[in-house]
Amino acid sequence: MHTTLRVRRYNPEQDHPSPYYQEYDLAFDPSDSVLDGLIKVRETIDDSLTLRCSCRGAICGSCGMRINGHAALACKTKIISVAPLGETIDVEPMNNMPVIKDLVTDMAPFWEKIRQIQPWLRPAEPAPVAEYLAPPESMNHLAGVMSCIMCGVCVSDCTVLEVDTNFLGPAALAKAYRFVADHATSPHQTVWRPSMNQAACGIARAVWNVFRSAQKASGRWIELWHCDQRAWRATYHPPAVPGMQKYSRTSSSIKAF
Amino acid sequence: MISPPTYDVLIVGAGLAGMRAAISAHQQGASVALLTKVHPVRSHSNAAQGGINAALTDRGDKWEDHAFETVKGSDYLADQDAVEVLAQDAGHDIITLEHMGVIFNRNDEGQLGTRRFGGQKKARTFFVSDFTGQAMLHVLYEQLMQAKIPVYEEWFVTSLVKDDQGHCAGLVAFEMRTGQFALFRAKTVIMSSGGLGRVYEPSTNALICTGDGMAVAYRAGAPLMDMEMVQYHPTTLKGKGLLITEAARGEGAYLLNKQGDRFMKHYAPTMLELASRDVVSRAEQIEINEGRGMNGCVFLDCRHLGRAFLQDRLGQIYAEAQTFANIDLAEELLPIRPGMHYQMGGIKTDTEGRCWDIRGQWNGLPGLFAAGETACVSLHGGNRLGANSLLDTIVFGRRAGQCAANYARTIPSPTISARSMEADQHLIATILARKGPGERPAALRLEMGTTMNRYVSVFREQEGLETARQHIQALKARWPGVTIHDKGQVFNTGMIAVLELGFMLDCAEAIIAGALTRKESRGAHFRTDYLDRDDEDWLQHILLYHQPGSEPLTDFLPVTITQWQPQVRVY
Repeated sequence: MHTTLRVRRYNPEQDHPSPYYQEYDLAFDPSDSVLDGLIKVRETIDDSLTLRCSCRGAICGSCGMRINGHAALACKTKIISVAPLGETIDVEPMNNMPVIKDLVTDMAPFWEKIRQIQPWLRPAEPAPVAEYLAPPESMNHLAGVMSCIMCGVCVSDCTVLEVDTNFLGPAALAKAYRFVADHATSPHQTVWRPSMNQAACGIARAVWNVFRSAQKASGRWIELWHCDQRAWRATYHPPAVPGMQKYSRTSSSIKAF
Repeated sequence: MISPPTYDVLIVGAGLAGMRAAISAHQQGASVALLTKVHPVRSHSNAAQGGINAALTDRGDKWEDHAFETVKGSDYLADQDAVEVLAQDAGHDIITLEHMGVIFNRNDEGQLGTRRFGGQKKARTFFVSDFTGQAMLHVLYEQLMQAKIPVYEEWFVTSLVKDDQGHCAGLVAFEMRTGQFALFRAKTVIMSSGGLGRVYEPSTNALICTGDGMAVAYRAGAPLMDMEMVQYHPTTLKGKGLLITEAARGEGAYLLNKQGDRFMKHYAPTMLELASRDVVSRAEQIEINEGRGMNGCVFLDCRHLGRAFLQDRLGQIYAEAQTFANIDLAEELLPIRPGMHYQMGGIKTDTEGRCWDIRGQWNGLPGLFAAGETACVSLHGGNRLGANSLLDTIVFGRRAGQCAANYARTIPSPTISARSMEADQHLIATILARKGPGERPAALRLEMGTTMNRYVSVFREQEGLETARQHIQALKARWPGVTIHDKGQVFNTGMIAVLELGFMLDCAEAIIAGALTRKESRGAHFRTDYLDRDDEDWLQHILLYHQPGSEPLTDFLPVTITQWQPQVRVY
């Protein structure tokens, strides 16, 4: 079977760098992912096509990119699922982060927001000699949160970040939720006080939209929503943008979660 | 030009071993930095699914049992002093991880829960669903952020640098984003850069597993040990070779041939599917070779486990089978086959991660340490038990970090000149200057991978190994002609592919040299022309020293035996 990958290219070393689209015709197997297709292009047609990839199994989170406009992991997206009749597939770098080259984006702002929520466990009391005793369900619940692979796909599709780059974004909030939920349900009794009030921000509906797209990528995050909608009760005032729906504020602090 | 500060401990690779080493060196008060070609959470430690072993005394388990089963699993090639350290430290190190925030699955009493794993009679594998490695990796990254340990992300190491006394004094690397080179001065370097799976095609390993650390250390004079010991995992998917965790069998899945027969009863009557990996992989390959497989595969049967159980305890492979093989594990048989998975060998270290030998001397490269899959302590000997690799990274990563920090205190700052970078800069310039058409690196890599998978796999013999050696030598001769069309400095992944290929060819050569040298069958190294284990002649490690332009120099080390004399190995 054949398809065409229409890839957004960008190389800052060109004399007049500006993004452009390049098409690659490609033979593919029904089992091939978009990543397989891109690797085939890179290895046999054009070695200057630049992307990150590693595990090929949707674990490492390297190959987030936009496929036909929606962010996804390329290794997890079958060519046949997006181009059943051999249609052209648009492949572009993730949104809401600067592009370094072709499909490689600068994830530094992403990780900066993760750091802002100070995502590490700080138990209030000295740890016991053995393990913390905890009910299996609460651990299973937290493990569901911890299964986030930090690929950035949810951030790419986040419509709030498009209008307010200060918004922490869904990945950082999910990471925050791991410690919030820990406080509520586990024996760690975490002292978790993010330094920034901004960490309190969450737009329930926007987060929900983003998580729906993230679920397509990872198949896991949706559990967050099902498991504990309380976590997302806090809402947020985006800056006034014409046409932007207003959300009501119920909390200004993450402590209210 | 970037000129980084001088570090006490510079760590190459930020997977579990590297991050664990960084945290422990930091706690010792050393100045530490990590340097990695991918972001830490993209590391291949992610892929470890099933769990991490420890014998906890408060569960009625004994570290001696864990140690013995590790030694037996290794086919008696593991150094027993190292295995004792591993088994004794395991409990403490796992509890430390739990206190850091790893959300291990619990039993009904709220304690850490266990599951069964191959080669072990007792359930002593602690786990986080079936993404244990990922859970640990992300928590160690949290600890790294908290400690504010600097990470040079997406830097690619090209060589180690020695001072005038031959002491490892730092390394040369370039930043992938800019192509800029820098000389890193460090009192000690810890190699924790993972395995070399991409030497084979297919392999369960991620595309980043290209043996860089092993090759760089090997070229700088550190010996590689037991490189012939390459583990084939019994359950990998056809095609790209993705891994299906051993936890599936640990939780009760069967292996069937095309007649529906649970064939493991003929090969391992007691342990069945949970015999050690080399035994199961050989059994599968025999079934396939003798016509009882289907399309080069046998089958994993999870149907009796039930959908809810699969989703809960084996969620990742349940989804993986769906996505990558279009199989519903709750209803259908999954075709699987043995696939290259792990390198038991690596940079020879002692139990503190130092690259020195049991004679108590730095063995080629003083100042160099190693931990994790890159290293060979030797814990795993001829065959690694499932769930011992995560334990290896945590225990020996910690020990290497501690020892390197303490050692750094006793030595002066390194003195090396910025001219140390010139050779590598010249190499990059030469590669960029090559005019087309030339050969693509991917073509050579595929030839190397299929050669290795054909001749240096589950079954090996002299003639095939000689053929493989000739192929690899021919590929090495072609490597200087490899051409890329991207001539840029920014994120030139074509350049990375060329350099990685060079590293992998050195690793392949070492694997074949070891396999040709070891004239017996032990663990993963099964010679159809030497069918038996030969403790009289071969109860020893094979050390290989790099010789530019010729075959590696071979040396031998006796295996350390403390309390378990070699016995016949039956499962």
